[in-house]
Amino acid sequence: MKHCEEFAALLDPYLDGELSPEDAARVREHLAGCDRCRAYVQAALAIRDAFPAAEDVEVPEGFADGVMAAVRADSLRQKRRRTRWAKRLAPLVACCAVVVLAVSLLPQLQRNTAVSPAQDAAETALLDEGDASAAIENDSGAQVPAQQDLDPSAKQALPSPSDSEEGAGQTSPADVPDSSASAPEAEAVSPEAAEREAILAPYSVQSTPSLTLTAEEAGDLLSGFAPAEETEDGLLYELTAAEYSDLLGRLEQEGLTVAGAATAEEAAAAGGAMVLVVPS
Amino acid sequence: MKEQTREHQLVMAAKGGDEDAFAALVRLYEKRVFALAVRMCGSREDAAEAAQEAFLAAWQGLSFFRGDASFSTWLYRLTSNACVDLLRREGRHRSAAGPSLDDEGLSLDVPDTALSPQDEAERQELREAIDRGLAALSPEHRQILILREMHQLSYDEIAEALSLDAGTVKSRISRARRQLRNFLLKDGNFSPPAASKATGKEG
Repeated sequence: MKHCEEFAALLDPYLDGELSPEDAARVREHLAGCDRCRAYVQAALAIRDAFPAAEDVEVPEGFADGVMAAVRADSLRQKRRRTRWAKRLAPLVACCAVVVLAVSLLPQLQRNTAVSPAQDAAETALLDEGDASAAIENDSGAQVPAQQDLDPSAKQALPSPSDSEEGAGQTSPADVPDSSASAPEAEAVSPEAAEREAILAPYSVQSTPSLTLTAEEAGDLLSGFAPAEETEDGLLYELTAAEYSDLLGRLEQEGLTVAGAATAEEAAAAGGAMVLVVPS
Repeated sequence: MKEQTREHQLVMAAKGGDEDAFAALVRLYEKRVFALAVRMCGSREDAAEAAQEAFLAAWQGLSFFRGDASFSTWLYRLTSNACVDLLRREGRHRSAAGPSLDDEGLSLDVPDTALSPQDEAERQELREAIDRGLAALSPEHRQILILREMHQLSYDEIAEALSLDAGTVKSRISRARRQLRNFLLKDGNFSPPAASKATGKEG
């Protein structure tokens, strides 16, 4: 009986069949001589015996049909959305690529004020990116420069608290550098423009906290969430800031550092973050 | 085993976009999912909504379901999340309405002969009391007991379904069970026999 404290922690695992045979035998031996612990086990077994069974639950009539109707409706919606999201995401992805490229080339740009091969490469790359996203945009017949689309799409995906429904007259501070950065390939890219963009562009990333994972990296981390959209690129999840922060923590635990991931602070500031899971 | 194979086939087919296979999975699991949802949400209407959301989330996420966990565990996790979301979204914290069982008062003298239900009526009575007791538990205690006692998940599976570590699963189950038992004692369902042995307060 004086061992009750030691055994108290073993009673539930014992009841649940989670003990090794040796420990289970020790518990049984203790139960034979301890009324109090035996009473606990007996009560627990009585509860188990009378516990409501899933089989006794009456599912509302037509429940499965309702689910399948929702599934089919969702499939249809996904098909329609897929195209729309591809249009929205492509410029975003292209813009991120431009930013990464520009930032990585920035030191070289600063070293060489005169036109240099590195700069040429940067310009070409910038123009290529622009072309690529413009080409996708042209699918829908729209001739707008691709990057001008970035801002609205970012807002729609993650409305920031300060955004009004119309949002017409309101520009958040982060939007300002955005709009000036959205023109580089419209005006021929001058060295200064490229440099300016390189400096300003990171703001556009901050206004849209996002993270792209491969399915392999994501593993089951997002399995508890329903994707907000299914795009051609992958599944897009909209997470709250807390969920996003939690996700970052888990990725870290798994030793994964994802380049370009928005920080938890950025997600908190924007009230959430988008995670795109692309097939591995 | 046969059932598992069939389930596996259905999951694989549904992953490939086969809606009929998914419909079969829905029918296979609707009772278990609904049973969990109805106790988490507190009403059949809310439960139906949450259960539907869970299945829909399963359909949408199937392509990313890798089968590390069993399909059922994953589905319970989605159900659980859907219920929590629904309660949060609608601000419907029905669970808070019940009496608080936060402290279990483990020093209660416990009958050494716990009930052994003698007939179906008694069992039914206890079942109803358990339902009331479950409703009085906090959502996380209620949820974990249902997964354990109703759905018979192992500790590992519960850890997987609820994203908890093994230690938390163990302590939460123990706490939930003690709270439920104390509710039943107070409720008079575990009435201590008059001639209870003088067990004292050992332990």
